[in-house]
Amino acid sequence: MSQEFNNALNDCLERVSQGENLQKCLSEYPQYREELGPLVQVAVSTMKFAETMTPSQQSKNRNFQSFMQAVQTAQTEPRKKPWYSFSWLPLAKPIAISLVAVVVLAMGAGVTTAASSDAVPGESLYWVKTTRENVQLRLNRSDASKAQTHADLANVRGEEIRKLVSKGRYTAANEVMKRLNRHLQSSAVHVGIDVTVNHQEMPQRPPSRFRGRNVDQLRASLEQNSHVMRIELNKMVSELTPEQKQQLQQFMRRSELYYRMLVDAMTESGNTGQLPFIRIVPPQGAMQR
Amino acid sequence: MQTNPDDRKVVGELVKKAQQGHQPAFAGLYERYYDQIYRYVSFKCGSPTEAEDITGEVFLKMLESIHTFKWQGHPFTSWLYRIAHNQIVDNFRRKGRRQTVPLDDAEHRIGVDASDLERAAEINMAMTDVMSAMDSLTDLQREVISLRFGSGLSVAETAQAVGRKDNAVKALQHAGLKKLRALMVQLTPAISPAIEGDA
Repeated sequence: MSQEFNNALNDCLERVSQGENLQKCLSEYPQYREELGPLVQVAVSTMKFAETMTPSQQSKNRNFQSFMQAVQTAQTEPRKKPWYSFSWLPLAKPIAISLVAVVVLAMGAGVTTAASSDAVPGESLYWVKTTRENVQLRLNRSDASKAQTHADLANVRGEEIRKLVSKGRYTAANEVMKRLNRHLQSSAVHVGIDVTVNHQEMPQRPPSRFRGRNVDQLRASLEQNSHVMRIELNKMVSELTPEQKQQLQQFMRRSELYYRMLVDAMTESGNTGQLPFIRIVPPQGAMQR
Repeated sequence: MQTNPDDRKVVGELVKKAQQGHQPAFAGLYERYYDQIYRYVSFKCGSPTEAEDITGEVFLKMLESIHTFKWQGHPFTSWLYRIAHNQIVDNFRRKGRRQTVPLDDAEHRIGVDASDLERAAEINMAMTDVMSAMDSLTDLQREVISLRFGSGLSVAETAQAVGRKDNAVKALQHAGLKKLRALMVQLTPAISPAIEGDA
């Protein structure tokens, strides 16, 4: 009966969803009537329930604005296809990356890796840089060193954001900002901070076994990086158009928030009172433009 | 739940123009699919707040990859739902666990204001019941139920989105509904009475 029943069920579901009476449909399948009816009813209830799941107009509009802004930005940025993306051979990329990882390990801090350290997403040497970072992360043994490496990599992402902004590549900068946040979250996890998924909540402070010198060092490093990023991004504000300035200020707010949440979570006295909303005041000169 | 051929033609045009960088075409695709994708994501992740963020990311991802989309007999929706599925998986991986949503928040977010409350009360299943019942399905069953009844995809579109044959989707749909029904009867006894008149 199975396949035949499945077809009957599907037929009734299609017809009822088009507005046909369930009884009429069931009458065509008397042999399955008893079992079909309740199943169609559950499906109909689920559909009704789904109809109540509508996004708020506010969030829809907000996402629409971001989307259309990204569309505009994407049109101004030429799309570069990396030379290693062999679409004709799906295994080529992982194999190439593995080989490169071996070469990178063998060469240590060689010429290629040194040259790649300034690369940003979309540039030909960027993959060398990220491969080196992945290797670096895997070489770490202790939680403290992993946390520090992630914090350092968040700082590297910060530098990339500045370079991308200076090139007008805001979509790419936005992607890198997400990666910066992921590095910070990974860093936090390695010192025992329970990173919350609710943006309105502060992360939990690390349990006592994690506190001490390592956390203090990490906190100092995060504060320093956050400070440098704020200053460097602030320097760029005056050279931008009002739209670009707005985007840059969003980056500043986001990076400030990401860093501040973790620094506060690591602070013995708790929240510094600045969260969850932080207002960044652009420099005077920038406002007068 | 059937896609009509005219729709396919319109979507085809929108996609083609979007691939050429035509801004209104992107706006058209957004308007056409946002609510559907949101419903699917809400069904899968259970949190309206997260669903809004993920849905926004799905469209940004679509923008990034639309130049790679090729018509190979698969509907555009299947491709879009795959992006949504991947975004949800990435999101869960990042968060490391599945989120549940407080009912108050859910009611607020699904737009049940004072005037809608009566209508909401008519719906047989409470949100928490549906979500917990959905949780007990297998991944594939949940995927099929979300696509079919959450987003209103046809069997063929669902089959393309989950990479299975039509018959397999029908079987998964049957098994999923059967399990949902058993759980819903336990959770919401009101659903059990015999069917009378319209569904």
